[in-house]
Amino acid sequence: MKKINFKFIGILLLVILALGSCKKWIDPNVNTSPDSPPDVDMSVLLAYSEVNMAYNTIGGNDIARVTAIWMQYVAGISRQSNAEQNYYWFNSDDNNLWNTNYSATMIDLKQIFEKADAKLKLSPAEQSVGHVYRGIAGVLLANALGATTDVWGSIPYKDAFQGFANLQPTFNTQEEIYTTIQSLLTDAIADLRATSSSAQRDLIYNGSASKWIAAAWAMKARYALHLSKVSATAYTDALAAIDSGAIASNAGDCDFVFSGYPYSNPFFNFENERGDVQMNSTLIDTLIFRHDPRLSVYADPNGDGDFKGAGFLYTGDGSDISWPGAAVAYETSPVPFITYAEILFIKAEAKLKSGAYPISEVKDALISAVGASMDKWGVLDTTYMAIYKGFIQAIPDAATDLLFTEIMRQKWIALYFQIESYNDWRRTNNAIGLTPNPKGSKIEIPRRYPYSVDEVTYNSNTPVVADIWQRVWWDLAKK
Amino acid sequence: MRKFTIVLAFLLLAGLQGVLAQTRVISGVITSSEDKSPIPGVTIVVKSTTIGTTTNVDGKYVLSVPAKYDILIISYVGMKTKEVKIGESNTLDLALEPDIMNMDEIVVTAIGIPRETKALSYSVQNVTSDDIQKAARTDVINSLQGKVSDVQIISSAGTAGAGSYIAIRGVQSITGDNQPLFVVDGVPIDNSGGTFGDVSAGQGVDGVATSNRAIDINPEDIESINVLKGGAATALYGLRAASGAIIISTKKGKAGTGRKINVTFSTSLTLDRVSQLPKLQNEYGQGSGGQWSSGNRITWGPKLDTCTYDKTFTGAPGTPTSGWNYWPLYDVDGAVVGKNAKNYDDTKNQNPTGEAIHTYNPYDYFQTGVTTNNSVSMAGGSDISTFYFSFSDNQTKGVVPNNWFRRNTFKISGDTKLSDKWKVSGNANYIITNGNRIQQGSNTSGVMLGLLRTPPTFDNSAGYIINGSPYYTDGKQRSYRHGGGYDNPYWTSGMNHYIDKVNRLIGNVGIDYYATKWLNFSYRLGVDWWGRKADDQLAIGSAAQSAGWTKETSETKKDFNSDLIMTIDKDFAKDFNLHFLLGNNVTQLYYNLLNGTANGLLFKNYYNLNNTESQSTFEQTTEIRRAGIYADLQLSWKSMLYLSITGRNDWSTTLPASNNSFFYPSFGGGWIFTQLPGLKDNKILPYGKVRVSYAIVAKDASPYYTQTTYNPYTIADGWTAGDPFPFANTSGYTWGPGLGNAKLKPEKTKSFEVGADLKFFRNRVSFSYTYFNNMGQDLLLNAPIAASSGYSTMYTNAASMRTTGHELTLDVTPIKSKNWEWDVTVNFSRIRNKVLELAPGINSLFLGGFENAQIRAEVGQPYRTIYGTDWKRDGNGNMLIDDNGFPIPSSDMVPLGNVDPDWTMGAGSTLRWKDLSFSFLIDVKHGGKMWNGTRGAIQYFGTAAETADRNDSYVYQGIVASTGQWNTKSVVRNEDWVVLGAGNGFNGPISNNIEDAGWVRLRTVTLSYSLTHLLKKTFIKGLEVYFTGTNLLLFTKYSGVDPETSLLGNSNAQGIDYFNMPGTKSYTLGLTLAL
Repeated sequence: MKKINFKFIGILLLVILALGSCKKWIDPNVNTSPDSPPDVDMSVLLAYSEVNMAYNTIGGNDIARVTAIWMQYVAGISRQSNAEQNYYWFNSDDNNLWNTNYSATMIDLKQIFEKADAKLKLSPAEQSVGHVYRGIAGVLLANALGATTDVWGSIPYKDAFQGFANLQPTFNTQEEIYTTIQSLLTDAIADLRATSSSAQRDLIYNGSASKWIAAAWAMKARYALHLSKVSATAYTDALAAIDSGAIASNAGDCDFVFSGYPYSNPFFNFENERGDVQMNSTLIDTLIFRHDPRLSVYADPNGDGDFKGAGFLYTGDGSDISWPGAAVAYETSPVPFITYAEILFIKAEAKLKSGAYPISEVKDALISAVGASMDKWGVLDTTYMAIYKGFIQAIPDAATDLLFTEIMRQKWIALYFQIESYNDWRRTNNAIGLTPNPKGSKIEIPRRYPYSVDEVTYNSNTPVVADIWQRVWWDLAKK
Repeated sequence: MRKFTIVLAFLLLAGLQGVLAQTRVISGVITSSEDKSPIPGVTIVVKSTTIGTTTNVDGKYVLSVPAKYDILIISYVGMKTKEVKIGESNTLDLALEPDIMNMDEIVVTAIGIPRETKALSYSVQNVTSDDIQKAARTDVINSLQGKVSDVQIISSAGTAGAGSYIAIRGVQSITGDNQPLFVVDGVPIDNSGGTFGDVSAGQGVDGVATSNRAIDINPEDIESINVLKGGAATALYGLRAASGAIIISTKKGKAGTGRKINVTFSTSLTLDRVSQLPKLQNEYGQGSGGQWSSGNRITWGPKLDTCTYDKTFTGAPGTPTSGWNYWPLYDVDGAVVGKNAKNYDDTKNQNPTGEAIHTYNPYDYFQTGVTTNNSVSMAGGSDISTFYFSFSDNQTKGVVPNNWFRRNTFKISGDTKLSDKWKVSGNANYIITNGNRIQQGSNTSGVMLGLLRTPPTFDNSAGYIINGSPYYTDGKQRSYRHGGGYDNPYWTSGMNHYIDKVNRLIGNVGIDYYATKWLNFSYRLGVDWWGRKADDQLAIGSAAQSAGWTKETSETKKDFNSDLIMTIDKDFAKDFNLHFLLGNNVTQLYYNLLNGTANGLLFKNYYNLNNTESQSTFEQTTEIRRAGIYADLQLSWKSMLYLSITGRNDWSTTLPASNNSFFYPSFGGGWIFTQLPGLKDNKILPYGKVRVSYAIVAKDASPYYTQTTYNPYTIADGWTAGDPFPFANTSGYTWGPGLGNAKLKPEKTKSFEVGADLKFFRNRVSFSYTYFNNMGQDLLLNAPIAASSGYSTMYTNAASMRTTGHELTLDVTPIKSKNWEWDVTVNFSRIRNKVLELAPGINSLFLGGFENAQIRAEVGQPYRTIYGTDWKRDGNGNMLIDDNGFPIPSSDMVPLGNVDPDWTMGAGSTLRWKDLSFSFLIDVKHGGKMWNGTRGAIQYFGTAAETADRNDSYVYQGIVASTGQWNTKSVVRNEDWVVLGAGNGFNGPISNNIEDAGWVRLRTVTLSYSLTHLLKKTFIKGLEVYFTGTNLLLFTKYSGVDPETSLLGNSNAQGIDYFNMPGTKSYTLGLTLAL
C-alpha cells in the first residue's frame, strides 16, 4: 500500500508541477507577432508615411487621378474613370482614400511625433534627433491635413487618432484645421531649426533639415493662399512665408520620386493594370496651341505619332488617343508635394492680387515660374521663353484680369496632375476657364468629395453633405 | 463493431497481471448463441486475478490458468457475461447469449475514453472501417458523406487532391474556422489548408484547389471514426473541438497471435469521369452581330448551318482585324464564311461549295481519371506486446490532364506491458503527399474559364502536345482570342504547374500506469509536424503573366499536444458507479510560411527565383500556446441513471495576459427508463433512453490581436496591386491599422441538447432523435470602425448567432438470419441558423465572393446568405418591366437566398446473402442556393446552351413599370440584350443565376463478395472483392457542374460557383486479402 502511495504522491506532484508551469507556458510574449513588431524606429515610419502620401494622400488614384479628370488634364475613357468624368463620385468611391489618410498616413505621422517627443526628454544628441523627426512629420502632417480638408471640408483632428478612447471623433471646422496646419508648420520650422541631425530613411530630402524648412515655408505660403476667398491677409501671408525662406529652386522641390517597378508611380500602376485614362483634349489642345514644349513629357503620341486628346463627346475605344506621358505616368514619374514653380506662381498671383507690387514683378514671377516648370521637365527652350516673355511683357499693366488668367492657366499647365489645380480652380472660381462636361450627372464640375461610407456608417458625428457640388468653407460662392 | 471491441478489450486487459507459475492451459472457442458464429475479441479473465486473454479472429483462445483458480469470466460487449467453472477438461467452448441491455456500442469519446453509448448524455455516430474502405475515397472526409446526420461535407472540386469542407451542426463562429477537430488515437492533428489566400479579405477566387491536411490520413489504417457533435460531447477537448470532433481510431495489432503475423493486403482501382457539366450551344459561331470574326471574344456570330469553310483568304496575324481574315494559326479549319450572300454584307467572302462547319466539344478535354490504391499492413502481438505496421500508396490521375495526386503513408504502432502496472505505447506515421494542381476559378488561366468561353468552332486541342512543346509562336499561345484573353486550357494544364509536396510526421508516445484496479494514470505526448513546399508556375506567354512568373512557398506546421490524465473507475456502493477523470492538457501550435515571388522569367521553363531579376518575399508566423485542466465526473446508478459533469479551464496566449483564463462546464443526464421495474425486459421496447445536456464551449481569439503592431504592408489603393515594402531597399512600417484589443475574451457557445434513443424488437429497429440549440455569444470578428479613430478595424467580441437543429437516425434490420441480412439506415438533419448581432453599426459582414455576388453574414438572416443585385420589383415581388419589354436592373444588394440546405438525408441499405453483400447510400440535400456565376458569364459569351434561343421571342413575366399592367410585350434576347444590356451575369443582376443547389444522388453503391469460406483450408485467412460506384446518379435542378462544389475551398464562404472544376463519378474495383 505504502509503495503505491509514494507513486501516487509522485504523480500528483507531477500534475501540480504541470499546472504550476502553466503560468510560464502561457507566456504573453508568445502572442507578439514575429512579423509585426510592437515597436519600431521612427525612420521606418517616416519612409512608410512618405510612400503612402505619394501613393495615396497626395498622388493617389482616388485624389490626383480623379481631380485630374475633373481638371481636364486627362480623360476617363472607360469604366469607373468614365463615370468619374461624368461626375459620378460616391461615398464608397473615396472610402479607401479617407481610410488611408486617417488610419495610415496621419496616424503614422502622429506615431513619429510620439516617439520624437520621447527623445526630447533625453540627451541633447537625442533631442536633436527628436527635433528633426518632429519637424519633418509636422510638415508632412500639415500637408496631409491640407489635402484631406481641401476635398472634405470639416474633418476630425483634435479628437481623432485615439483608438478605443474615442471611436467616434467629432469633426473640426475647416477654419480650425487651417489654423492647425499653420501652427504645425510653425512648430515644424522651429524644430527643424533646433536640430543638427538629419533623419534616416527620408525618401524625399534624404534627411536634410534645411530643405524641409524651405518646404515648410512653401506650404505655409500655399495654405495661406488657399484662404484668398475668406481672409484679407491671404496674399500678404503667402508672400511673407515665401520671403521667409520657401523653396528657391527646382532642386529644392518637395517631390517623391518613385524608383521603378515594383516601386512604381501609382498612376503608372493604374494605367498598367487598368488603362482607362488617356489625354483630355482640353490640355492637349492648349499645349499644341501654345506650342508648349512640355507636350512631349506630358503626353505620349498615339499610334500614328500624333498628340490627340479625347473630348467629352469622344466615343471611340481610345486607340487614337494619346496616353499620359513621362511627367506623370511612367514607373519613375515623381509625385510632387510642393514645387518651386508653384511658389513662383503663388508669388505672381499674390503680388498681383495684393496690389502692392509693380506689375513688372508679377510678370517676372510668372515668366520665372513657366521657365522653372519647363526646366523641371528638361524642356526649357530659350527661344520659346524669349517669345513667351515678349508676349507677357506686351500685356498692358492695366489688363490685370488678363494677366491673372494667364497666371492661373500657366499654373494649371505647370501643376499638371497635381491636386493643387483643383484647389486653384475652386478658389479662383474657374480662372483657368474650364467648360464642364455636358454629359455630366450635373453640368458643373464637382466642388468636394462626399464623406466616405465607412465614416458615415461608423461615426455618427459625420456631417451631412448634400452632394459633391456643396462648397467647402474656403470656397465661397462669390468673391 | 466487433473489431473495435477487440481494441477495447485490449485496453481493459492492459493492466492485467502476467503469467504465474503452476498453470494449466485452457483453450476453446467462443461462439454466438444466435448464429453459432465464432466471436473474435471476447475477453476471458480468470476470476479474482488480472490474468486474461481475448479470442482470436476464429473465436479461439488459449489461456494459462494458475492451479489455484478455477472460474473464468467470459465477457463480450453486447453479450451477457458468463462465469464458468473449469471442469476436468482443458477445453472449454461456450456460446454467449446476446444481451439486449448491453447491445449498445462502445465508442471512443473525448480524450480517447471508450464508453458505452448508453452512458452518454449526447448523440454520437460511428462509421466503421468497412464503410470507409468501401467508400473508396482518397480523402477520408469524403467517405463520411451521407453517413452521419448533421455533418455537412462539400468537396471543393472534382480534381485530384482538392480539399473538402466539413462542418458539424452548422457553424459556431462568424469569421473563425468552423471545421471540427481531427483526433487520431487520442492526439489532435492538423486539418488546415484547402483555402486559397485570405478569404476574408475577398481574395481567393482564383488559384488552384489545394488539399486540407486530413487527406494525409490513410483510410486503410482506420478502425473506426466517431463523430462528436455537440458541446457536451467535446467539452473535455475544449476550445479546439468547439466545432465538434472527428475521432479516428486506427487499427492495432492484436494480442495473443503469437508468432503469427496477420498480413492484410488491399488494392483498388478507381476510374473517374467528370459528372455534370454546363450545357453549351453549338449552333452559332464565333463573332458578333451575326457575323463571324476570328479572335472575337464572344460567340454571337452566324448560325453555323448557313456557313461553310473557306481557306482561300490567307490573311496573316498582323493584318488589320476588320473585315474577313483567315488566321491559319488559330482557325485551323479555315475561315467561316456564308454559303450565300444572304447571311453577310460582305459578298466577296462566300463559299457556296465549301465544307460544312463542324463543331468541337470542349469537354473532350477531360480524360478518365485513374486512381490506384495499394496498401499492406502487418499486425501481431503477444500477451506482452503488439505491433501494427502499414504502408500505402495512393496514386491519382485526375480527370483534368496533368492533374495528379500521390500519397504514401508509413505507419508503425505498438505497445508493450513493462510490468503488471506499466504499459507504454507509441505510434509513428510518416506521410508524403504531393500533386500537381491545375488553375481554376476566376483566373485567366482557369481551365473551365478557357473551356467554356471557347466558341464551338474553335479547336482548343489543335497543335497542342501536352507535356511537350505546345503550339507557340510569336510569344503567344494558341487560343480562340488569338493568344490573348484567357489561357487555352491545354496550355494551362500543360504549361502552368502548381506542384506541392508535403512531408508529414504524426506521432505519439503514451505511458499508462495502472495504480490499482480502479485508478490509473496515463500520459500521451503527440506531435504533428508537416512541411509543405509549393511551386506555383505560370509559363512565359501565359495570359496573366506574359513574362512568366513563379512563386515558391514553404510552409511548416508544428503542433504539440500533451495530455496527462488520472482516471478513477469504482463501484463505491451497491448500484453506484463512479468514474472520475482529471486531466491536464498542454498544446502548442506553430505555423510558418515563407514565400518568394518572382515576376518575369529570364529563360523559359526554368522555374527558380534566380531566373528573375526582381523577387519579393513574404513571411508569416503564428504561434499559439494553450494549457488546460479538465475534470469529468460520471455517476451511474443501477445502469439506469447516468449523470455527467465536466469542467475545463483553459489558458491561452491569444487572450490578454491579465484575462487569459476561462472556465466552461457541461452537464448531462441520461435515463434508461426501460430499466424501471415495470418496463424491464419488455419484448417490444427493450431499450429506451432519454438524455439531456447543456454545455458551454469556449474558443479563444486568433493570435496577435491583443496589441496594435507595426506592419510592413504593401501600400495599395483599391485600384492597383500597389507598392511593396521594403520600398527600393528602404524598410517601412505602418502603425496598425488593426486596433489591438486588450479586452478580448473567449467567444462562447451555449449548447443545449435533448434526445432519445429507442430500440425495438430485439434491436431490430433502433431510433434516435436529437434536438440541439447552440447560442453563440461574444463571437469574435474583425469589425470595421471609423478611420478617424486612427484605425480601420477592431477585432472584438460582438456578434451573436443561434443555430438549432433536429437530427434523426433510424436503423432497421428487417431480416437477420444466418444466410440473409437486410439492414436499412436513415439519417436526417435539419438545421436553422440566424445571425442575431454582428457589431455596433455593422449589419453585414463579407465572408467571401465577388463584388456583385457575395456570401455574407447579415443580421436577421441565416449565416452564409448570398447577397447580390436583383431586378427592380414591385411590393409583391414581381419584376418591373420597362416599356421595351425588358426587366429593369437594380443596383441594390439584397439577400438572394441561403447557401445551407433546408434539410439533408442519407438513406442507406445493405442486403447480404451469405457472402455476397450489396449496399447503397442515397444522399439527399434539399434546398440551399448556389450562385452559378459560370452561367451568367457564358450567357454573355454566347456559348451557354440557353443562348441558342437568341432569335426566339420571349415574354418576361412581370409588371410594366409605367402602366402597372402585366407585361405582354415579347422581346428577343439577342446580343443587344445579353451582351450589351443587363441580360448577363456581368452587367445584369446576379439574381438570375441563383439556383437551387439541392440534389438527390446515389452517393455510393457497393457490391462485395467474400471468398473467405472457400479458402478455409488454405493459408489465406480472408479474401474479399468489391465494386463501388460513387455519384453514379445525380438528380439536381442545378444547371452547372455538380452542385457539390465550392470556389472558395473549405472556407466559410460556401455557395460560390464561378468556373469551378466539375465533380466526378467513380467506379472502383477492390480486393482485400488477409494472410
